[in-house]
Amino acid sequence: MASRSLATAASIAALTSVIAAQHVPVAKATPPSNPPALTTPPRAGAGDVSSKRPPAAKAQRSWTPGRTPDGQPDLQGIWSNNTITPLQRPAQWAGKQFLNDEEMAALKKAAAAAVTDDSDAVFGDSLVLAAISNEKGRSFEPSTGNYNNFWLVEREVDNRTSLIVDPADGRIPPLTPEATARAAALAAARRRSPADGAEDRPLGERCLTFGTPRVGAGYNSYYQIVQSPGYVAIVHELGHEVRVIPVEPRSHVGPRLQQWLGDSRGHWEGDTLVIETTNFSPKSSFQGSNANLHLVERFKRVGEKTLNYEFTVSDPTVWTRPWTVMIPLKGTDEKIYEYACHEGNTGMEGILSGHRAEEQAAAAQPARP
Amino acid sequence: MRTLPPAAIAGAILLAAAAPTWAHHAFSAEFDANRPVKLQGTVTKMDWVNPHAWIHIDVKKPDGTVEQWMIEGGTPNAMFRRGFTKDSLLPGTQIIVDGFQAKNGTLRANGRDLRLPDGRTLFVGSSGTGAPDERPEK
Repeated sequence: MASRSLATAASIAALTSVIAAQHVPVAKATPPSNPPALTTPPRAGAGDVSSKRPPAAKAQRSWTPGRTPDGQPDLQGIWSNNTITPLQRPAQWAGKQFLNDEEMAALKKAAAAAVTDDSDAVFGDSLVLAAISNEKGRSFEPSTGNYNNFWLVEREVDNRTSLIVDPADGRIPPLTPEATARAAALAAARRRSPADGAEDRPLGERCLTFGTPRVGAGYNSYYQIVQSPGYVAIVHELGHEVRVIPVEPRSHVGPRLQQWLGDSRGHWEGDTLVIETTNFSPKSSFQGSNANLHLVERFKRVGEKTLNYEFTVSDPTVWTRPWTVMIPLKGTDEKIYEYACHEGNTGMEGILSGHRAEEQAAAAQPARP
Repeated sequence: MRTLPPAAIAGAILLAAAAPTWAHHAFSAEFDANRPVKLQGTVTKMDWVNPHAWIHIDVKKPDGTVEQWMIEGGTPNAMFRRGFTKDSLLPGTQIIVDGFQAKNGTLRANGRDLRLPDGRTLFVGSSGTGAPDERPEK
Protein backbone atom coordinates (compact mmCIF):
# COMPACT_ATOMS: atom_id res chain seq x y z
CA MET A 1 0.00 0.00 0.00
CA ALA A 2 2.72 2.37 1.01
CA SER A 3 4.56 1.89 -2.24
CA ARG A 4 1.38 2.46 -4.24
CA SER A 5 0.59 5.59 -2.29
CA LEU A 6 4.08 6.79 -2.83
CA ALA A 7 3.91 5.98 -6.49
CA THR A 8 0.69 7.93 -6.80
CA ALA A 9 2.10 10.80 -4.80
CA ALA A 10 5.19 10.74 -6.93
CA SER A 11 3.12 10.80 -10.12
CA ILE A 12 1.12 13.75 -8.93
CA ALA A 13 4.24 15.37 -7.58
CA ALA A 14 5.98 14.94 -10.88
CA LEU A 15 3.08 16.58 -12.66
CA THR A 16 3.13 19.38 -10.14
CA SER A 17 6.85 19.74 -10.60
CA VAL A 18 6.36 20.14 -14.31
CA ILE A 19 3.78 22.80 -13.71
CA ALA A 20 5.99 24.51 -11.18
CA ALA A 21 8.92 24.38 -13.56
CA GLN A 22 6.89 26.36 -16.03
CA HIS A 23 7.00 29.43 -13.82
CA VAL A 24 8.47 32.19 -15.95
CA PRO A 25 8.43 35.69 -14.49
CA VAL A 26 7.27 38.29 -16.94
CA ALA A 27 7.35 42.03 -17.12
CA LYS A 28 4.90 43.79 -14.88
CA ALA A 29 1.61 44.75 -16.38
CA THR A 30 -1.44 46.27 -14.82
CA PRO A 31 -4.58 44.26 -15.45
CA PRO A 32 -7.73 46.16 -16.23
CA SER A 33 -10.05 46.19 -13.23
CA ASN A 34 -12.87 44.71 -15.24
CA PRO A 35 -11.35 42.54 -17.96
CA PRO A 36 -13.84 41.60 -20.62
CA ALA A 37 -15.27 38.19 -19.91
CA LEU A 38 -17.09 36.09 -22.43
CA THR A 39 -20.40 34.79 -21.30
CA THR A 40 -21.59 31.47 -22.56
CA PRO A 41 -25.10 30.28 -23.17
CA PRO A 42 -26.51 27.87 -20.60
CA ARG A 43 -25.76 24.23 -21.40
CA ALA A 44 -22.97 25.23 -23.73
CA GLY A 45 -19.91 23.04 -23.44
CA ALA A 46 -16.35 24.22 -23.39
CA GLY A 47 -16.04 23.43 -27.04
CA ASP A 48 -19.31 24.66 -28.38
CA VAL A 49 -19.39 28.02 -26.72
CA SER A 50 -20.32 30.88 -28.92
CA SER A 51 -17.25 32.70 -30.04
CA LYS A 52 -19.14 35.91 -30.49
CA ARG A 53 -17.72 38.43 -28.07
CA PRO A 54 -20.38 40.48 -26.32
CA PRO A 55 -19.59 44.13 -25.71
CA ALA A 56 -18.91 43.23 -22.10
CA ALA A 57 -16.33 45.87 -21.32
CA LYS A 58 -18.48 48.68 -22.61
CA ALA A 59 -21.55 47.35 -20.80
CA GLN A 60 -19.58 47.01 -17.57
CA ARG A 61 -18.45 50.61 -17.65
CA SER A 62 -21.96 51.95 -17.97
CA TRP A 63 -23.78 49.49 -15.77
CA THR A 64 -24.99 50.59 -12.35
CA PRO A 65 -26.28 48.01 -9.88
CA GLY A 66 -29.76 48.34 -8.49
CA ARG A 67 -30.42 49.01 -4.86
CA THR A 68 -31.88 46.91 -2.07
CA PRO A 69 -34.83 48.44 -0.18
CA ASP A 70 -32.41 49.84 2.40
CA GLY A 71 -30.23 51.40 -0.29
CA GLN A 72 -27.29 48.99 -0.61
CA PRO A 73 -25.94 48.06 -4.03
CA ASP A 74 -27.84 44.89 -4.86
CA LEU A 75 -25.51 41.88 -5.13
CA GLN A 76 -28.19 39.33 -4.40
CA GLY A 77 -28.65 36.22 -6.44
CA ILE A 78 -27.03 32.90 -7.23
CA TRP A 79 -23.57 33.06 -8.74
CA SER A 80 -21.47 30.35 -10.29
CA ASN A 81 -17.80 29.77 -10.98
CA ASN A 82 -17.43 27.27 -13.79
CA THR A 83 -14.59 29.03 -15.52
CA ILE A 84 -11.87 27.07 -17.24
CA THR A 85 -9.29 29.77 -16.41
CA PRO A 86 -6.51 28.28 -14.24
CA LEU A 87 -5.53 29.76 -10.91
CA GLN A 88 -1.94 30.18 -12.05
CA ARG A 89 -0.82 31.17 -15.53
CA PRO A 90 0.66 28.18 -17.38
CA ALA A 91 4.07 28.53 -19.03
CA GLN A 92 2.45 28.36 -22.46
CA TRP A 93 0.80 31.69 -21.71
CA ALA A 94 3.74 33.38 -19.98
CA GLY A 95 3.68 37.11 -20.59
CA LYS A 96 0.15 37.02 -21.91
CA GLN A 97 -2.76 38.17 -19.77
CA PHE A 98 -5.55 37.80 -22.29
CA LEU A 99 -6.33 35.62 -25.28
CA ASN A 100 -7.42 37.09 -28.57
CA ASP A 101 -10.44 35.80 -30.46
CA GLU A 102 -8.35 33.38 -32.49
CA GLU A 103 -6.69 31.95 -29.40
CA MET A 104 -10.05 31.71 -27.68
CA ALA A 105 -11.48 29.71 -30.56
CA ALA A 106 -8.50 27.37 -30.53
CA LEU A 107 -8.80 26.91 -26.76
CA LYS A 108 -12.47 26.04 -26.99
CA LYS A 109 -11.76 23.50 -29.67
CA ALA A 110 -8.90 21.97 -27.69
CA ALA A 111 -10.96 21.89 -24.49
CA ALA A 112 -13.75 20.07 -26.30
CA ALA A 113 -11.23 17.55 -27.62
CA ALA A 114 -9.59 17.10 -24.21
CA VAL A 115 -12.58 15.56 -22.55
CA THR A 116 -15.79 13.76 -23.39
CA ASP A 117 -18.68 12.56 -21.29
CA ASP A 118 -17.35 9.02 -21.26
CA SER A 119 -13.78 9.91 -20.32
CA ASP A 120 -12.63 10.02 -16.72
CA ALA A 121 -13.67 13.14 -14.84
CA VAL A 122 -11.26 16.00 -15.39
CA PHE A 123 -11.33 18.40 -12.46
CA GLY A 124 -10.29 21.96 -11.89
CA ASP A 125 -7.32 23.33 -13.78
CA SER A 126 -6.56 19.97 -15.38
CA LEU A 127 -8.98 20.70 -18.20
CA VAL A 128 -7.29 23.87 -19.41
CA LEU A 129 -3.82 22.42 -18.85
CA ALA A 130 -4.73 19.49 -21.07
CA ALA A 131 -6.32 21.75 -23.66
CA ILE A 132 -3.31 24.02 -24.07
CA SER A 133 -1.11 20.97 -24.45
CA ASN A 134 -3.51 19.46 -26.98
CA GLU A 135 -3.76 16.38 -24.83
CA LYS A 136 -6.57 14.33 -23.37
CA GLY A 137 -7.54 15.39 -19.86
CA ARG A 138 -5.78 13.34 -17.24
CA SER A 139 -7.38 11.73 -14.24
CA PHE A 140 -6.19 12.82 -10.83
CA GLU A 141 -6.40 9.16 -9.93
CA PRO A 142 -4.21 7.44 -12.48
CA SER A 143 -4.37 4.14 -10.58
CA THR A 144 -8.13 3.77 -10.14
CA GLY A 145 -9.70 6.62 -12.07
CA ASN A 146 -12.68 8.46 -10.65
CA TYR A 147 -15.93 8.35 -12.61
CA ASN A 148 -17.20 9.47 -15.98
CA ASN A 149 -16.92 13.14 -16.82
CA PHE A 150 -20.69 13.39 -17.22
CA TRP A 151 -20.84 13.82 -13.45
CA LEU A 152 -19.34 17.30 -13.85
CA VAL A 153 -20.93 20.52 -15.05
CA GLU A 154 -19.75 22.00 -18.30
CA ARG A 155 -17.09 24.64 -18.13
CA GLU A 156 -17.00 28.16 -19.46
CA VAL A 157 -14.16 29.73 -21.38
CA ASP A 158 -13.14 33.34 -21.01
CA ASN A 159 -10.19 35.26 -22.33
CA ARG A 160 -8.04 35.40 -19.22
CA THR A 161 -4.94 33.27 -18.75
CA SER A 162 -4.92 33.13 -14.93
CA LEU A 163 -7.22 33.95 -12.06
CA ILE A 164 -4.26 35.53 -10.29
CA VAL A 165 -4.03 39.19 -11.30
CA ASP A 166 -1.23 40.14 -8.93
CA PRO A 167 1.70 39.38 -9.15
CA ALA A 168 1.70 40.28 -12.81
CA ASP A 169 3.13 36.91 -13.79
CA GLY A 170 -0.10 35.29 -12.64
CA ARG A 171 1.67 32.90 -10.27
CA ILE A 172 1.48 32.30 -6.52
CA PRO A 173 4.49 34.07 -4.96
CA PRO A 174 7.32 31.90 -3.63
CA LEU A 175 6.83 30.34 -0.22
CA THR A 176 8.88 31.46 2.74
CA PRO A 177 11.52 28.99 3.94
CA GLU A 178 9.47 28.23 7.05
CA ALA A 179 6.38 27.51 4.96
CA THR A 180 8.40 25.22 2.72
CA ALA A 181 9.64 23.33 5.78
CA ARG A 182 6.11 23.12 7.21
CA ALA A 183 4.75 21.78 3.95
CA ALA A 184 7.50 19.17 3.80
CA ALA A 185 6.73 18.08 7.36
CA LEU A 186 3.04 17.88 6.53
CA ALA A 187 3.70 15.82 3.43
CA ALA A 188 5.94 13.47 5.43
CA ALA A 189 3.26 13.08 8.10
CA ARG A 190 0.71 12.21 5.44
CA ARG A 191 3.03 9.57 4.04
CA ARG A 192 3.58 8.09 7.49
CA SER A 193 -0.08 8.11 8.47
CA PRO A 194 -2.28 8.39 5.43
CA ALA A 195 -5.38 7.12 7.18
CA ASP A 196 -4.76 6.05 10.77
CA GLY A 197 -7.89 7.97 11.65
CA ALA A 198 -10.25 10.47 10.07
CA GLU A 199 -8.01 13.23 11.45
CA ASP A 200 -5.38 12.29 8.89
CA ARG A 201 -7.70 13.05 5.99
CA PRO A 202 -8.32 16.48 4.41
CA LEU A 203 -10.95 18.75 5.93
CA GLY A 204 -13.25 18.55 2.92
CA GLU A 205 -13.05 14.79 2.80
CA ARG A 206 -14.12 14.82 6.44
CA CYS A 207 -17.05 17.08 5.53
CA LEU A 208 -15.84 19.64 8.08
CA THR A 209 -15.28 22.64 5.84
CA PHE A 210 -14.20 23.60 2.36
CA GLY A 211 -12.82 26.87 3.68
CA THR A 212 -12.74 30.35 2.32
CA PRO A 213 -11.77 31.95 0.01
CA ARG A 214 -12.57 29.43 -2.71
CA VAL A 215 -10.93 29.23 -6.08
CA GLY A 216 -12.19 25.83 -7.19
CA ALA A 217 -14.32 25.91 -10.34
CA GLY A 218 -16.73 23.42 -11.78
CA TYR A 219 -17.40 21.39 -8.65
CA ASN A 220 -20.51 22.61 -6.81
CA SER A 221 -19.00 26.06 -7.22
CA TYR A 222 -22.22 27.97 -6.63
CA TYR A 223 -22.85 30.79 -4.21
CA GLN A 224 -25.91 32.68 -3.07
CA ILE A 225 -25.73 36.20 -1.71
CA VAL A 226 -28.50 37.52 0.49
CA GLN A 227 -28.48 41.02 1.94
CA SER A 228 -30.37 42.54 4.84
CA PRO A 229 -29.85 45.79 6.73
CA GLY A 230 -26.45 45.48 8.40
CA TYR A 231 -25.62 42.00 7.14
CA VAL A 232 -24.71 40.03 4.06
CA ALA A 233 -24.95 36.26 3.96
CA ILE A 234 -22.98 34.15 1.49
CA VAL A 235 -24.17 30.59 1.03
CA HIS A 236 -21.60 28.16 -0.38
CA GLU A 237 -23.13 25.14 -2.05
CA LEU A 238 -20.09 22.91 -1.52
CA GLY A 239 -20.37 21.98 2.12
CA HIS A 240 -23.48 24.16 2.52
CA GLU A 241 -21.47 26.62 4.55
CA VAL A 242 -22.84 30.08 5.22
CA ARG A 243 -20.90 33.19 6.09
CA VAL A 244 -23.05 35.75 7.90
CA ILE A 245 -21.07 38.96 7.75
CA PRO A 246 -21.82 42.21 9.57
CA VAL A 247 -21.67 45.17 7.19
CA GLU A 248 -21.43 47.88 9.78
CA PRO A 249 -18.69 49.35 11.95
CA ARG A 250 -17.82 46.63 14.40
CA SER A 251 -14.48 45.43 15.69
CA HIS A 252 -13.22 41.89 15.15
CA VAL A 253 -13.68 39.32 17.88
CA GLY A 254 -10.76 38.71 20.23
CA PRO A 255 -7.67 36.94 18.90
CA ARG A 256 -8.38 33.81 20.90
CA LEU A 257 -11.59 33.18 18.97
CA GLN A 258 -10.51 31.37 15.82
CA GLN A 259 -12.97 29.90 13.33
CA TRP A 260 -12.96 27.71 10.23
CA LEU A 261 -14.08 30.60 8.05
CA GLY A 262 -12.47 33.30 10.16
CA ASP A 263 -14.15 36.44 11.46
CA SER A 264 -15.42 38.75 8.74
CA ARG A 265 -16.37 42.41 8.69
CA GLY A 266 -17.79 44.21 5.72
CA HIS A 267 -18.11 47.78 4.51
CA TRP A 268 -18.97 49.53 1.28
CA GLU A 269 -16.52 51.44 -0.87
CA GLY A 270 -18.84 52.98 -3.41
CA ASP A 271 -20.67 50.08 -5.03
CA THR A 272 -18.02 47.57 -3.95
CA LEU A 273 -18.59 45.37 -0.94
CA VAL A 274 -15.30 44.95 0.89
CA ILE A 275 -14.94 42.15 3.43
CA GLU A 276 -11.94 41.80 5.69
CA THR A 277 -11.41 38.49 7.44
CA THR A 278 -9.01 37.45 10.19
CA ASN A 279 -9.11 34.97 13.09
CA PHE A 280 -8.83 31.81 10.98
CA SER A 281 -8.51 28.55 12.86
CA PRO A 282 -4.99 27.10 12.93
CA LYS A 283 -6.64 23.91 11.69
CA SER A 284 -7.98 25.64 8.58
CA SER A 285 -6.02 25.81 5.37
CA PHE A 286 -5.94 28.03 2.36
CA GLN A 287 -2.99 27.06 0.20
CA GLY A 288 -1.01 26.31 3.34
CA SER A 289 -2.05 29.42 5.26
CA ASN A 290 -4.27 29.36 8.35
CA ALA A 291 -4.19 31.36 11.59
CA ASN A 292 -2.11 34.20 10.15
CA LEU A 293 -4.16 34.55 6.98
CA HIS A 294 -5.41 38.05 6.29
CA LEU A 295 -8.10 38.08 3.64
CA VAL A 296 -9.61 41.09 1.91
CA GLU A 297 -12.42 40.38 -0.55
CA ARG A 298 -14.08 42.77 -2.97
CA PHE A 299 -17.43 42.07 -4.61
CA LYS A 300 -18.43 44.37 -7.43
CA ARG A 301 -21.40 43.78 -9.67
CA VAL A 302 -20.37 44.93 -13.11
CA GLY A 303 -23.38 43.69 -15.01
CA GLU A 304 -26.74 42.06 -14.50
CA LYS A 305 -25.10 38.64 -14.69
CA THR A 306 -21.50 39.34 -13.69
CA LEU A 307 -20.15 39.77 -10.19
CA ASN A 308 -16.43 40.37 -10.06
CA TYR A 309 -15.04 38.63 -7.00
CA GLU A 310 -11.55 39.78 -6.15
CA PHE A 311 -9.57 38.84 -3.09
CA THR A 312 -6.12 39.52 -1.73
CA VAL A 313 -4.44 37.12 0.68
CA SER A 314 -1.43 37.90 2.79
CA ASP A 315 0.43 35.81 5.32
CA PRO A 316 4.09 36.71 5.79
CA THR A 317 4.67 33.33 7.41
CA VAL A 318 3.68 31.57 4.18
CA TRP A 319 4.18 33.81 1.14
CA THR A 320 6.93 36.26 0.35
CA ARG A 321 4.31 38.81 -0.72
CA PRO A 322 0.51 39.19 -0.89
CA TRP A 323 -1.30 37.98 -3.99
CA THR A 324 -4.63 38.75 -5.60
CA VAL A 325 -7.18 36.68 -7.47
CA MET A 326 -10.12 37.86 -9.56
CA ILE A 327 -12.95 35.51 -10.50
CA PRO A 328 -15.82 36.81 -12.61
CA LEU A 329 -18.79 35.02 -11.04
CA LYS A 330 -21.71 34.45 -13.37
CA GLY A 331 -25.33 35.05 -12.42
CA THR A 332 -27.50 32.00 -12.92
CA ASP A 333 -31.15 31.06 -12.64
CA GLU A 334 -30.12 27.62 -11.40
CA LYS A 335 -30.87 26.59 -7.86
CA ILE A 336 -28.50 26.04 -4.99
CA TYR A 337 -28.72 22.47 -3.73
CA GLU A 338 -28.00 21.32 -0.24
CA TYR A 339 -24.72 19.43 -0.07
CA ALA A 340 -25.51 17.10 2.79
CA CYS A 341 -21.98 15.77 3.18
CA HIS A 342 -21.38 13.96 6.43
CA GLU A 343 -24.44 11.72 6.50
CA GLY A 344 -23.65 10.29 3.07
CA ASN A 345 -19.90 10.16 3.51
CA THR A 346 -19.52 6.41 3.26
CA GLY A 347 -16.31 7.03 1.35
CA MET A 348 -14.61 7.87 4.65
CA GLU A 349 -15.63 4.51 6.07
CA GLY A 350 -14.24 2.87 2.96
CA ILE A 351 -10.95 4.73 3.17
CA LEU A 352 -10.31 3.95 6.83
CA SER A 353 -11.44 0.32 6.69
CA GLY A 354 -9.54 -0.10 3.43
CA HIS A 355 -6.31 1.00 5.03
CA ARG A 356 -6.92 -1.34 7.98
CA ALA A 357 -7.43 -4.20 5.54
CA GLU A 358 -4.19 -3.32 3.79
CA GLU A 359 -2.32 -3.23 7.08
CA GLN A 360 -3.68 -6.63 8.03
CA ALA A 361 -2.70 -8.03 4.65
CA ALA A 362 0.80 -6.60 5.01
CA ALA A 363 1.13 -8.04 8.53
CA ALA A 364 0.10 -11.46 7.23
CA GLN A 365 2.88 -11.47 4.65
CA PRO A 366 5.83 -13.67 5.62
CA ALA A 367 8.77 -11.69 6.87
CA ARG A 368 11.53 -11.12 4.36
CA PRO A 369 14.64 -13.18 4.98
CA MET B 1 10.08 3.31 3.27
CA ARG B 2 11.07 3.89 -0.30
CA THR B 3 13.11 7.02 -0.90
CA LEU B 4 11.48 9.56 -3.13
CA PRO B 5 13.50 11.42 -5.73
CA PRO B 6 14.13 15.09 -4.91
CA ALA B 7 11.82 16.26 -7.71
CA ALA B 8 8.98 14.22 -6.28
CA ILE B 9 9.58 15.64 -2.79
CA ALA B 10 9.63 19.16 -4.18
CA GLY B 11 6.44 18.41 -6.06
CA ALA B 12 4.79 16.97 -2.98
CA ILE B 13 5.67 20.10 -1.05
CA LEU B 14 4.11 22.27 -3.70
CA LEU B 15 1.11 20.01 -3.82
CA ALA B 16 0.60 20.12 -0.08
CA ALA B 17 0.93 23.87 -0.11
CA ALA B 18 -1.11 24.67 -3.15
CA ALA B 19 -3.52 21.86 -3.98
CA PRO B 20 -6.97 23.26 -4.58
CA THR B 21 -10.11 21.26 -4.02
CA TRP B 22 -10.82 19.25 -7.13
CA ALA B 23 -13.16 16.66 -5.80
CA HIS B 24 -14.50 15.49 -2.52
CA HIS B 25 -12.23 12.57 -1.79
CA ALA B 26 -9.42 10.56 -3.30
CA PHE B 27 -10.75 7.43 -4.95
CA SER B 28 -7.34 5.78 -4.89
CA ALA B 29 -7.53 5.92 -1.08
CA GLU B 30 -10.80 3.98 -1.08
CA PHE B 31 -10.47 1.60 -4.01
CA ASP B 32 -7.76 -0.92 -4.81
CA ALA B 33 -5.85 -0.41 -8.05
CA ASN B 34 -4.94 -4.12 -7.91
CA ARG B 35 -8.57 -5.21 -7.99
CA PRO B 36 -10.08 -4.12 -11.29
CA VAL B 37 -13.66 -5.27 -11.78
CA LYS B 38 -15.98 -5.41 -14.75
CA LEU B 39 -19.54 -5.94 -13.66
CA GLN B 40 -22.76 -6.33 -15.57
CA GLY B 41 -25.79 -5.96 -13.41
CA THR B 42 -29.32 -4.75 -12.95
CA VAL B 43 -29.95 -1.47 -11.22
CA THR B 44 -31.99 -1.92 -8.05
CA LYS B 45 -31.79 1.69 -6.85
CA MET B 46 -29.71 4.82 -6.98
CA ASP B 47 -28.85 6.99 -4.01
CA TRP B 48 -28.81 10.61 -5.22
CA VAL B 49 -26.73 11.70 -2.26
CA ASN B 50 -23.72 13.88 -1.56
CA PRO B 51 -20.83 13.85 -1.40
CA HIS B 52 -21.05 10.97 -3.92
CA ALA B 53 -23.97 9.18 -5.52
CA TRP B 54 -24.21 5.38 -5.28
CA ILE B 55 -25.77 3.05 -7.81
CA HIS B 56 -26.91 -0.31 -6.43
CA ILE B 57 -26.81 -3.23 -8.83
CA ASP B 58 -27.52 -6.95 -8.65
CA VAL B 59 -24.83 -8.95 -10.37
CA LYS B 60 -25.63 -12.55 -11.28
CA LYS B 61 -22.65 -14.87 -11.01
CA PRO B 62 -22.05 -17.88 -13.25
CA ASP B 63 -23.27 -20.20 -10.47
CA GLY B 64 -26.59 -18.39 -10.40
CA THR B 65 -26.07 -16.60 -7.13
CA VAL B 66 -26.55 -12.84 -7.01
CA GLU B 67 -24.17 -10.31 -5.51
CA GLN B 68 -25.37 -6.89 -4.49
CA TRP B 69 -22.80 -4.28 -5.47
CA MET B 70 -22.65 -0.55 -4.76
CA ILE B 71 -21.02 1.68 -7.36
CA GLU B 72 -19.71 5.10 -6.35
CA GLY B 73 -20.14 8.05 -8.71
CA GLY B 74 -19.82 11.81 -8.53
CA THR B 75 -21.77 14.54 -6.80
CA PRO B 76 -25.42 14.51 -7.89
CA ASN B 77 -25.78 18.29 -7.94
CA ALA B 78 -24.20 18.55 -11.37
CA MET B 79 -26.46 15.78 -12.63
CA PHE B 80 -29.53 17.77 -11.65
CA ARG B 81 -28.07 20.75 -13.46
CA ARG B 82 -27.60 18.64 -16.54
CA GLY B 83 -31.27 17.76 -16.47
CA PHE B 84 -31.12 14.29 -14.98
CA THR B 85 -33.54 13.29 -12.25
CA LYS B 86 -34.30 10.31 -10.05
CA ASP B 87 -36.25 8.95 -13.03
CA SER B 88 -33.19 8.98 -15.26
CA LEU B 89 -31.87 5.67 -14.02
CA LEU B 90 -34.70 3.36 -13.11
CA PRO B 91 -34.55 -0.02 -11.38
CA GLY B 92 -34.32 -2.78 -13.91
CA THR B 93 -31.84 -1.01 -16.18
CA GLN B 94 -28.91 -3.16 -17.20
CA ILE B 95 -25.53 -1.48 -16.89
CA ILE B 96 -21.89 -2.40 -17.27
CA VAL B 97 -19.38 -1.06 -14.77
CA ASP B 98 -15.64 -0.77 -15.16
CA GLY B 99 -13.92 0.15 -11.93
CA PHE B 100 -11.92 -1.04 -8.98
CA GLN B 101 -13.14 -2.88 -5.91
CA ALA B 102 -12.94 -1.35 -2.45
CA LYS B 103 -9.76 -1.97 -0.49
CA ASN B 104 -11.80 -3.29 2.41
CA GLY B 105 -13.03 -6.16 0.26
CA THR B 106 -16.70 -5.24 0.37
CA LEU B 107 -18.81 -5.37 -2.77
CA ARG B 108 -18.22 -1.74 -3.61
CA ALA B 109 -16.45 -0.24 -6.58
CA ASN B 110 -15.99 3.06 -8.27
CA GLY B 111 -17.82 3.53 -11.52
CA ARG B 112 -14.84 4.60 -13.53
CA ASP B 113 -16.87 3.95 -16.64
CA LEU B 114 -20.60 3.31 -16.71
CA ARG B 115 -22.16 2.02 -19.90
CA LEU B 116 -25.24 0.40 -21.24
CA PRO B 117 -24.88 -3.08 -22.72
CA ASP B 118 -24.95 -1.61 -26.24
CA GLY B 119 -21.85 0.43 -25.43
CA ARG B 120 -23.41 3.83 -25.02
CA THR B 121 -22.37 5.91 -22.02
CA LEU B 122 -24.87 5.81 -19.19
CA PHE B 123 -27.06 8.91 -18.80
CA VAL B 124 -25.62 10.71 -21.79
CA GLY B 125 -26.39 7.71 -23.97
CA SER B 126 -29.91 6.32 -23.69
CA SER B 127 -30.69 4.43 -20.53
CA GLY B 128 -33.78 2.95 -22.04
CA THR B 129 -35.85 5.22 -19.87
CA GLY B 130 -35.69 8.10 -22.24
CA ALA B 131 -33.28 9.89 -19.97
CA PRO B 132 -30.70 11.17 -22.41
CA ASP B 133 -33.22 12.65 -24.68
CA GLU B 134 -34.82 14.27 -21.67
CA ARG B 135 -31.72 16.37 -21.32
CA PRO B 136 -33.28 19.77 -21.66
CA GLU B 137 -32.25 22.40 -24.12
CA LYS B 138 -31.97 25.32 -21.75
